[in-house]
Amino acid sequence: MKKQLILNMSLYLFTLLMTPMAFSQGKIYIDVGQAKIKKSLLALPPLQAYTSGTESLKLGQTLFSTLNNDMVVSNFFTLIKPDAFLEDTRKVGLRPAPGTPGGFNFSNWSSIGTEFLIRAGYRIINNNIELETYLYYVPQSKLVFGKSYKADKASVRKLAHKFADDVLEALTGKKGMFTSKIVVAVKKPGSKIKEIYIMDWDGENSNQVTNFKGITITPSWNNDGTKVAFTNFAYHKKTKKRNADLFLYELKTAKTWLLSHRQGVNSGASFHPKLNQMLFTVSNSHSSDIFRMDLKTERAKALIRGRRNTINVEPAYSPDGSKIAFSSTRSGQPMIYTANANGTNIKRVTFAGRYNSTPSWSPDGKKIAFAGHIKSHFDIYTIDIASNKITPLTAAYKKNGKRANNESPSYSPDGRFILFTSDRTGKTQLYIISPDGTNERQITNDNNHYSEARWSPFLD
Amino acid sequence: MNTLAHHPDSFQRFILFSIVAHIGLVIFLKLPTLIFTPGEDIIIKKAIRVDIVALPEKEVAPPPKVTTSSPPPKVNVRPKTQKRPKPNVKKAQQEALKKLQMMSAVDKIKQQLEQEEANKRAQEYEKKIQQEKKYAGNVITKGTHLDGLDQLSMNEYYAQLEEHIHNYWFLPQWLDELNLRAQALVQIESDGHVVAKQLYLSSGNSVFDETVLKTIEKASPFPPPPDRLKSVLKNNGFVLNFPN
Repeated sequence: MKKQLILNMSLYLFTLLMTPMAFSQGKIYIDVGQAKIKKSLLALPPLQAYTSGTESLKLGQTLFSTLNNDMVVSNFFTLIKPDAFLEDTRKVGLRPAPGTPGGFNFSNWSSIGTEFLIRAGYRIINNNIELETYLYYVPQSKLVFGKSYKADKASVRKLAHKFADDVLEALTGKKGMFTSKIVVAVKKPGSKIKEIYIMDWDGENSNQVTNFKGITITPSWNNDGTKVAFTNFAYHKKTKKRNADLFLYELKTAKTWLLSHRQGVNSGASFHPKLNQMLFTVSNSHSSDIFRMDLKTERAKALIRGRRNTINVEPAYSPDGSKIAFSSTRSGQPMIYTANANGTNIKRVTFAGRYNSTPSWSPDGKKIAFAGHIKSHFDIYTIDIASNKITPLTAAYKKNGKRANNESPSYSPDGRFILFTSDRTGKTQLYIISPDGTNERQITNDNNHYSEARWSPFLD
Repeated sequence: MNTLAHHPDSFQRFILFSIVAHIGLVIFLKLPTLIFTPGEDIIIKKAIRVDIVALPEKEVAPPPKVTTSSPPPKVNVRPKTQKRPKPNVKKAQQEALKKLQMMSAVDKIKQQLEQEEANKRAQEYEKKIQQEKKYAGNVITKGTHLDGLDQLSMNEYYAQLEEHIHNYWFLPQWLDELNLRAQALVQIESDGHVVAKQLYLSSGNSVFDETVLKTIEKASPFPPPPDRLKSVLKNNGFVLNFPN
């Protein structure tokens, strides 16, 4: 009886399990995979000037060239040459016909393969410039967005950058980096002095921030872009000695604070994205350790320490503030490590190469860009945190045929570019590159020596 | 007091049992490794393939065959009372014969009735089968018996398809950043030409959807399918995931 019961139960369970399999049906599914990327054809006709005069013309040209450059650099578009245009945009309005009398004709743009069309006009009113813009998707004869901007004449470039940001945001949901800035240590030709400068992402509007007439290095932005931290070899009257102290400078008020003057080198500040705290390095003859400071109380304590003569430097908070990346010689050679924000769970991230330094997190927290020493030079790499896959981004030669040094990577706030320095021209200049290693562009082209550049967060 | 000395037999039995149990445990742990030797070459096993596109058909057992029964065996009828044959033997024989004939007739009728009953059942069964054939879908296909090599060649074709279509799959940067997904149902002829395509699952973005359909158009003709798939891919098609 018992045996019969067990047999019956077994048969029942077996049937229960087999039934879904027996009656399952489905189609054949095939994954096509990630698409190859192509650029969209963009028509950017000259801006319509609603005011005349030399000044208006000059401002219009600045507006146009800034916008044109932003669109090209975005890597989204290929600009159609103006001589291919079928329509004289000076004779038609910014809006399309037939809805707008005297408006432009979509068919004149679609027939030359235009995907996107920007129509814009500007006027100067007193000390202000007003910009009226429209972005159209030509295959569907559709307005993507239309917006007006207003700024003082001195901010004409910012106006163009703002529109460029909005174009990318309208298309992708994520705004561009065009209104962001770069902070960098600059040494002028023939000078031994290094000062801190801030400039637009494209190298324009360069402004000197510090004037210590000494060596000022390792600049960095705070989390909202209103302040910059840097290290200066300040003279201490009491000890009559110089020490590399850490300062904080507020851009709007030009106010400066002394954050840390521990004996040794106080450098490499990294600000928590949400909390009022900061990481920095204190280096002396024995070791280099990472400290965490409460910015309210200005009290600091050691967070990541190593054995004697071990270096732990260049801390960088992850975008969500939960982790830290840093460079350390705890395993012998400088390698990239990560740890929890409280200093626990230290993990080695890079195992390749002989010298890896200056980690910079991508805004999505999935990758870290770093400078890696290979053979006789440095190049920029990214490492995927999840897969540990390392991707080389740069490779360049100097005029003498030797490999150039590409260093100090810093992600843009939208994650679409990485800023770095390179000595390929003989002078260390600023460059940007896409995270896949394409679209490399030189930002500065002068006789200055740029070092330790850092990209700002979104500033608007 | 030495309990072992008092119970030497039980101790011996215990030892014996322990040895046997240990040997049994070792065999149990070792046996799988002996049978399932690691590092074997890939064994291509026979696979049963069920038609996944066509509607399944119920596998029906053939109706039971109704056979006519063999003639009844001869019956030796012994009279109940055994009497010494009287001088009127002929009459008795005639009576016995008559009885036999009657019994035979009864048997015949019985058989006839049984036959009629069986035929009736068979007819009803046929009718039921005919009715059930209209409702395909709740049944399992009889399937096709494929060996591993055929299965591999099928997978190879799918990989070819994927690579072929991927060569035509382009997106503008701005559209790629939106991380959209769509599915398209495609039917192809035996020479690979697309006979029908439609959106199976929209991405929600008309430009992305349009790009998907244009990709399929440009990719036509596809690699010609193997014989086993021609009918399926023409009549039922397959779904392309953009991107996955």
